[in-house]
Amino acid sequence: MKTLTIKHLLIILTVTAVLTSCRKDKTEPTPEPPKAERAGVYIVNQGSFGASNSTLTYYDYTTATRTGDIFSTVNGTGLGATANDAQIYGSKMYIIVNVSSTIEIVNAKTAKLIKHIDMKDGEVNRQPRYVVFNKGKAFISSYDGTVAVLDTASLNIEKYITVGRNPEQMAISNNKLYVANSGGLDFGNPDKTVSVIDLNTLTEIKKIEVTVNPVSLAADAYGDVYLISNGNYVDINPTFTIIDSNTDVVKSAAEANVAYGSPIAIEGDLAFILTGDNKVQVYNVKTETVAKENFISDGTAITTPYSVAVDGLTGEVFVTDAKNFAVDGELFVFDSSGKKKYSIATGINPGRVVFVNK
Amino acid sequence: NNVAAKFKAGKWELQGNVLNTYIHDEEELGIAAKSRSVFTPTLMASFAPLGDKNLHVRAFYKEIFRNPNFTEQYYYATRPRDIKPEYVKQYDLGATYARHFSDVLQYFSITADAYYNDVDNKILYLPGRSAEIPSVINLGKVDIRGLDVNMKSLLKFSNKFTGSISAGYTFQKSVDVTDVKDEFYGEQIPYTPEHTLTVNAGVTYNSISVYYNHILSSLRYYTSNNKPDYLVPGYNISDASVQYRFKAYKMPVSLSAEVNNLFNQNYEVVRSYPMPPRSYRLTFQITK
Repeated sequence: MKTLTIKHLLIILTVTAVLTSCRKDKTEPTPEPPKAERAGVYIVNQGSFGASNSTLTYYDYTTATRTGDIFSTVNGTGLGATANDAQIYGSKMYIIVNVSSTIEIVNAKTAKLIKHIDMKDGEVNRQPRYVVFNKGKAFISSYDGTVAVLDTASLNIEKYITVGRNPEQMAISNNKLYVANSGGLDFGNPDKTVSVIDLNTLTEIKKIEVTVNPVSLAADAYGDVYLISNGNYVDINPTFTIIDSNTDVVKSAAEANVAYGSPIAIEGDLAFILTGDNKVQVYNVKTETVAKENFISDGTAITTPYSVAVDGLTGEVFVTDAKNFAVDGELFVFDSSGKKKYSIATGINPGRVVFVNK
Repeated sequence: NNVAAKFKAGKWELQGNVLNTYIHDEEELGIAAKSRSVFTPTLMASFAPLGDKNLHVRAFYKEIFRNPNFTEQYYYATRPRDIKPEYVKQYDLGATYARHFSDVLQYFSITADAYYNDVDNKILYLPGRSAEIPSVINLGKVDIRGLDVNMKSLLKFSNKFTGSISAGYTFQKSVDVTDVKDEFYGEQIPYTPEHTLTVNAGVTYNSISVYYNHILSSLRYYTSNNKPDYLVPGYNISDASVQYRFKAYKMPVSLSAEVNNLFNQNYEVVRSYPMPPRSYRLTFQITK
């Protein structure tokens, strides 16, 4: 056409209006991915000392029901002797059973068994203790002085890294794996080192000397690794040590009144530590000072605090009670202000709390 | 140390005593248990209601002090055990009927006792990883309500042919009443069956005897929680034996053959320690 008539202009205007309105729909911000929602909580119960009665208690948030031992209910067989740790990575939960010397890899949502691994060195039980994850690999510490590297895709153990004696908890910071070598099975002669493993080469590069009988380890977001050593029960008292993961040197070490084997549950800037006098201490990892002597604000008394965990999504704090170590324990759930919300019965010696998403 | 007194009047008989226990421990290495001096009284009344000395009714109140024994106090695995002694206040009411006859039934007796024990710091053995070093704990407060019934009889079919039957039954409800807030408050304490029964029967003809024994125990729990997870099943076990007594070179000797666990039952008294299946034993003894 030679000239733009009004008719043409009107058509162009209409088409443009329609096109731009469509484009407006397309430029609306895409909705955020849904926030993770908790389905419930697992409690790993160690069972009685010297017996084979570990259980996995599950509390479902939606139905508010508790299953005493969901592992045996779903799989028809018990967990075995002294299930010590469990962690969820991806869609699977890895349960570490210490005395039976096995790893049970289950579906995190249903607890259905996917793979059972016997942790043996020839005929000798390795006695696995704890598990942590990094870039598709699971690292499992065992009392025989090794850290096993398990590939979470193939579910096969690829390598064993030799560390100190009777390693316990582990933490990852600055692309390095820190392992607490307790030496605790050698009564009277504990170990006193933390092994540092380079996560690129998967070899031990250094041993840091610390107070005897180191057990609990955790890393914060500021490059510090926190360690609790339990001493020798005679003249060396428990110590709270801070290691700088940039230099792998001990920054500070001070005597502390801590419960044996207490996990250090770090969430954001706060670490929760069980004390020797049945309190839940809150420690600020940024300022490196004690924030609260006792997190529990409503006077709830726990007979024997055994393990502590924090749910970062809800701010709830979970503390388990082992009572007299021979009867069913209890899980106390506190809100972020330290008031008890509810409690549920667990099995004997509830040692680990794990959160599972829907 | 004991002081006792007895008083008799017609159908009644009263007895009282006070027992003093004095304990002093010393240890070269480690910590010795506390020294103690305890007085425990007992009061007992017995009476024959029918004037017939075959039937007696009795009641007693007794305080019992049981110090932990050497194993319980000092055989510990990792650290000294702070075991407190047991104190029991026992209330008992019972009756006995015993009589001789001159018939096939020569003798018959039956005793029944109903008792209530109020126990403080009951000492309890929990089987541990090794038999020599068990776990020993104090249960704060235990209430025991029990009934014991014992029966004994002797039979004579002829001069050469005699027999005997005896049986004992115990009902025991032992519950933990330490702390109302405990989940297991009011539940049966560990390893304590509610019902136990023993039966012994035997016949002798000349020099040959045949015996039969039976033990029954009802179910138990191996922790304070009475839950199916912690159940140790009850059991019923029978044994039988034959004995032949004779003289060899003027010495009295006995030869016996026994079958234990006659019906080959699978059972455990302590969890995870299976008991032997049917077994046989031959015994030769120089004895009467």
